[in-house]
Formats: sequence, C-alpha cells, structure tokens
Amino acid sequence: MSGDSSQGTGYVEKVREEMQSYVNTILSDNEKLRQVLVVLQTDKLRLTEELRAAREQAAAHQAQEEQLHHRLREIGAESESFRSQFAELEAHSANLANLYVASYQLNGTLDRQAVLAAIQEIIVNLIGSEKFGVFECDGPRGELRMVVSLSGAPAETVASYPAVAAVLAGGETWIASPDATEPADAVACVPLKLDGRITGLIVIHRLLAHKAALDALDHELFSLLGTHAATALYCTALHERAPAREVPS
Amino acid sequence: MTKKKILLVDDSATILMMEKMVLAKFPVDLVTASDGEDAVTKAVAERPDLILMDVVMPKMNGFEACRRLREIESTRLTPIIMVTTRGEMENVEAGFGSGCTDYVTKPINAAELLAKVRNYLGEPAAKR
Repeated sequence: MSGDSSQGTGYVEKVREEMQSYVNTILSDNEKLRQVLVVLQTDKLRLTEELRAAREQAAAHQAQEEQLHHRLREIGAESESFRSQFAELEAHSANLANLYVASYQLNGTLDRQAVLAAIQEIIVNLIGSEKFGVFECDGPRGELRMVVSLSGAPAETVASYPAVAAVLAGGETWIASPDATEPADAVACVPLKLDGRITGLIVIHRLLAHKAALDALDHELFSLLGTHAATALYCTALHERAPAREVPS
Repeated sequence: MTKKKILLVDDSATILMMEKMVLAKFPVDLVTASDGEDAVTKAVAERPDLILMDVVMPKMNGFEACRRLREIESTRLTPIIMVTTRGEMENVEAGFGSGCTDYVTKPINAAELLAKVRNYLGEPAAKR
C-alpha cells in the first residue's frame, strides 16, 4: 500500500510540475503577446498620426493646386487682355500713322500740283477709291470746277447730285447709308472748308472692289482732308500770288 | 547681331512713308526704291531679307522686277510681297507666276502687313 501511495504522490507532483511549467509557458507567451500588443498599439498610433498628417498635406496640396489653377486662369485672362490691348494699340498706331502721312503729304509743299497729287494719293492709297473727283468752288456763285479726277463724273453731273447739294448747303460730310437699297451716285462727299466757308468738294463715287465699306479711319481721313486739303490749296494760291517772296528756311 | 533689312518699292511717296511708319517698330533697316529698275539694282546691292513690291510703277513694273530678281542668284530666294490694288489682284496668278511669295492689298492694312512681315522675318525683338 505504501508503495502505491508513494507512486501516487510522485505522479501528482509530476503533474503539478508539468502544470506549473505549462502555466509559466502560457504566462511567458502572454507577456510576449502583451509586448507585441503594445508595439502594435504604438504603431497604430504612429500610423494614425502619419495618416492624419498625410491627409492634411494632401488637402493642402489640393488647395494649393486649386490656387495655382485659379492663378493660371487669371494669368490667361490677363494675357488675353494684354494681347487685345496690344492689338488695339497697334491699330491705333497704324491709324495715327495714316493721319500723320496724310497731313505730312498735304502740308509739305507750296506747289499746287504737288498738293493735288497728294490729295489724289491719299484718296487712292489711304482711303482706297478707284473712282473719284476733287472740285474747287469758283466764281461769284461758287460753281464747281474739277481739279483732280480718277474716272470721276464731270462737275456739271456732280452738281446735280442730291448729296452734293446737301453738302454744299449744310457743310457737313455726307456718307452713303450702308443699308441703302438703291445704288447711289457717290459713296461719300466731303466739303473742303476754310474758316467755315466751303472752298471745294471731294466726291468719292466708288471704293476699291475688295474694300467693303468705309471705316472709322476713313471718317478721320475725310475730316483731315476737309480742313488740311483746303488750307494747303489756299496756301498754294497765296504762294502763287506772291511769287517774289521767298519761303523762310 | 546683324539687323535684318527690308526693301520697300513704290513710286508713291505716300505709300513708302506709310510703310516706313508701320514698320518702324521692327528693328530693321529700311531701304527704298521708286521703280522696278531701281528695285532690282538695290536688291542686288543691299541683299534685303524681304521685299515689299508695288505692281504699277514707271520704268519697270513689279511683276517684271520680280521675274528679274528670281533670275539673279543672290535674290532668287528672297521673299517678295507684292502690294496690289484690286485691279492688280486679278493678276495675282501672274504675280505668283513671276515668282512673288505673297501679297497684300491697298489700302494697306497695318495689321495684315505686320502679320506677313512677322511671318517672313520672325517676331522682332523689343525696340529700345
């Protein structure tokens, strides 16, 4: 019996030791798992923080990208505006060049034929007419006398035009209406005026075929011709009447 | 850097002056001739990079001057822009037949002329 008892005690002891060993192993594993858990929780916190930072950065980049797109659109609009302004300035500069050239040609000489040639060149080359006449008012009744013509109608015919009568009566430039259904005798009729008195007329019958209509620059040129051509012709007449006088240098 | 050169050919002082003013913004040398013969002589002597040529001129018209320039080695490839009126435009085919490169119509439209000159000479540097 005592032999059985000692065998039984040994077995229990062995089982207890094994149990203790098993518990120790489990405790050890548990400790390891707790440490892993701590590491994982730390990693999670770090990654969460990194994700938040990355999201913030992405949002900032997106905002910056939107700002850049907005600025790009603004620069595009500014560029378009500058391009448009540049084109306007270029056109304005060209118009001024036209007016300067016309004025220079008219006032650069005291020779009557040169002034008449300048008027003709301005009408042909700057306005673009292929059929016109330039007339001066002569005599006590101010009859029209043709002084320059390019396929233009004679003075007697021109004098019968209603537009010419209107210009002689009112002293204002007449331009044919672009909406006119009937073909007019003239496209434009410009009075040459000196001190408010009409000294002559320019009658433009037809523009060059590729020139569809008169534009703003043509109106400016008419205005310039109306005064400068009259003055230039008057100066040549004065100069002819005083041939002995020298032109001051 | 050598400045480019444009030869302006026209018997009209008005047109020459107008062309000079429109082209003043280009940093180029401008040379003028008043008829076709003068144009051929000056083109050979001056070797311009571009020629603006009127059609109707005394002594030798623009088409004939253009033909002559195409027969001369030094001016064979020089771009020539004919400056024509509508009546002359009917002869544009003849113009191209004589060797011209391009054309503009009178009255000169400054924007059109500048665009064509830029096309053949390139965009000018800003003039100081």
